[in-house]
Amino acid sequence: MHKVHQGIATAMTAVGLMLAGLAQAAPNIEGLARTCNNCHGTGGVSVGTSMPSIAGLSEAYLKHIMMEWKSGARASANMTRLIKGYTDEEIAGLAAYYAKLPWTPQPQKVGADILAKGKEATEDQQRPQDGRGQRARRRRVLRRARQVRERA
Amino acid sequence: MSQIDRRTFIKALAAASSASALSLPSLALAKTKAKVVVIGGGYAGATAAKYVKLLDKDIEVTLIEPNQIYVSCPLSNEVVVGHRDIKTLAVGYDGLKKRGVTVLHDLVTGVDRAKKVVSTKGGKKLAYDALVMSPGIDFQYTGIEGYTEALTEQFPHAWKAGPQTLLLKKQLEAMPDGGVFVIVVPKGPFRCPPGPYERASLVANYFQHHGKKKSKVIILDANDSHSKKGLFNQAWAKLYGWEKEGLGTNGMIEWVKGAEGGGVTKLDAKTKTVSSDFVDVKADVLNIIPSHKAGKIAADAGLTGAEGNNFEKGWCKVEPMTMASALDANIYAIGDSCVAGEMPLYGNPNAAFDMPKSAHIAMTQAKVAAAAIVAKLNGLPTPEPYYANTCYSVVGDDYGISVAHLYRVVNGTFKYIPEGSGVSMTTMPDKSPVPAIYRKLEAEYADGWLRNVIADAFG
Ligand SMILES: Cc1cc2nc3c(=O)[nH]c(=O)nc-3n(C[C@H](O)[C@H](O)[C@H](O)COP(=O)(O)OP(=O)(O)OC[C@H]3O[C@@H](n4cnc5c(N)ncnc54)[C@H](O)[C@@H]3O)c2cc1C
Repeated sequence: MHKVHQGIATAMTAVGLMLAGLAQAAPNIEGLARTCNNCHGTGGVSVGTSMPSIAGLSEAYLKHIMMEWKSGARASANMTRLIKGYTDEEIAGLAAYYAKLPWTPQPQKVGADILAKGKEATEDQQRPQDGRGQRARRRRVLRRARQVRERA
Repeated sequence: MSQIDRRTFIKALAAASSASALSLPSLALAKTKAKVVVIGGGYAGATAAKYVKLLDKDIEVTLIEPNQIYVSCPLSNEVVVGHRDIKTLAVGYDGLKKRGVTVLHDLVTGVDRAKKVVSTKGGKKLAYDALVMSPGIDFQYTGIEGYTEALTEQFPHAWKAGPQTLLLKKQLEAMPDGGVFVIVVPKGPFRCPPGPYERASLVANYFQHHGKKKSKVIILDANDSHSKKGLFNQAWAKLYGWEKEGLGTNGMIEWVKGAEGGGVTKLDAKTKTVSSDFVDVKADVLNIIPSHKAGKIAADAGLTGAEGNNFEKGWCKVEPMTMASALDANIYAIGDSCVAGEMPLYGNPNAAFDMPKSAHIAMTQAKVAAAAIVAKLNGLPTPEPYYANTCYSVVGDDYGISVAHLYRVVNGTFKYIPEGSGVSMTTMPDKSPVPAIYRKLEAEYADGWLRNVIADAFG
């Protein structure tokens, strides 16, 4: 009786190992990506302005910055920590996964005064591009930037 | 999105198993739909309900929660000191309803595990194939002589966000300059390990901005260490004149550890005095955080440990691969009510890793449970789980700090991954001071994090 049980147990362990081996060969990228969604938004689309959306960014770029955080070549207040716990394969998988998702703009609520400033600045750029006009525009833009800085 | 998600999810699962995609039992074809019931609509329960639906829209999901509006504890310390409107922490359940989740505003009063049926105060009975147990925490008002539940109206805990948060805010505002704001911290585990120290920091910040610079925050801590201690001490020294541990220092914040009398055992409500074997402290504002246990319904359902240490007794033990209860394979215990490891900082030097009680970890646990439930109901193998945590603490103007944790499951047990974990830097790698921009960014990330977790759980 005891022996039979042992046999079953051994067979089960073998199957277990096979599955574990398979799992190791192909990491569960979607499962891992779901943890990223906490900060970067469901499906990598962020609604918090200080966190970047990552869905739809270029695969090469995503992989590059993650690998640089991992090696320590690039600074980050936060990402340099978590990323060191991921394998290179997982990082590549995440980059490919988010690159395939659509880039989705998130409309942000902005005050009317800020919108008016933006409008003024864009109208400015649409004026003729002669040398004098350009220099005057540059002065105006710099002056405005200074005012904004002083007020802030 | 959900359709694509479901197809790729099921395909990915099939690829990891020996079953062929064609021979999979499909719920879409099954005559009766599988039923998932979720108890509690906090960060854990809301996320589980949403992600089960995202992964398989054919499963019927019912979430049961007594409140129409959920108020987030994360960043509620900012409300106490007037940096944030409590409205930014409130969220309803329309987002989940739009995703096809049935939301029932009711209280679960019983779980019949043999029949797989939950019953509610409103008299409803709901059958389940898989049950998600996510009722959060309940307080224990024991351990402090003279302290009762009724006294929380006088000495708010503000450890469940809402009216309690606003009560503590009112008391802080009414406190005169030179007053003493006392925070009583219970023995761990408690939710949000950095929370009491974030609160102390922001209260000191409030004193600075509101003409109360002669006031003090005294933390009476039943534990001998705390989360992000080095970072908190560094910030306190920079911002609030912190000198060292113990009572009677010159800084605005004083911290008394358990070994030195921080563990409060007595309250004299009349004189607002709390005492331990070593010290008596008279407070002007008294913020007592009671000790915690799993939500009552988890204990009533027989899912919590009856004995053992602080981490086993009163909490739901789980299977690391799936978040299923160790005592019932059909029930998944996630969020604050489960125990997934021990915190070494609470005095267990042998603890190999620590999975804190946070909204962030509650959500990653919920996502693991959701994937495991969908896999099981579709007759597929369990997908590999990942658990991650990030906790931001805002400790002053433009000054945030954080801790990150990563866990994997190796040979069926949780494994803490030190390479993927750690706190914000206290110095740069070359030992120079950390530029202010790092602290400012983390304060901004705290706000972005909050908006995204609310949207990811409830949206
Ligand atoms: C001051 C403070 C600051 C914090 N800051 C952070 C932070 O910055 N980051 C972070 O990650 N975490 C933070 N946390 C921790 C975080 O709040 C918790 O970890 C998180 O809320 C856990 O989620 P949960 O769903 O398990 O429990 P909860 O959020 O408590 O939700 C449980 C829900 O279940 C419902 N419920 C209970 N019993 C029943 C029943 N019988 N039937 C039906 N429904 C029921 C309750 O009404 C409640 O809505 C903080 C906590 C505090 C107190």
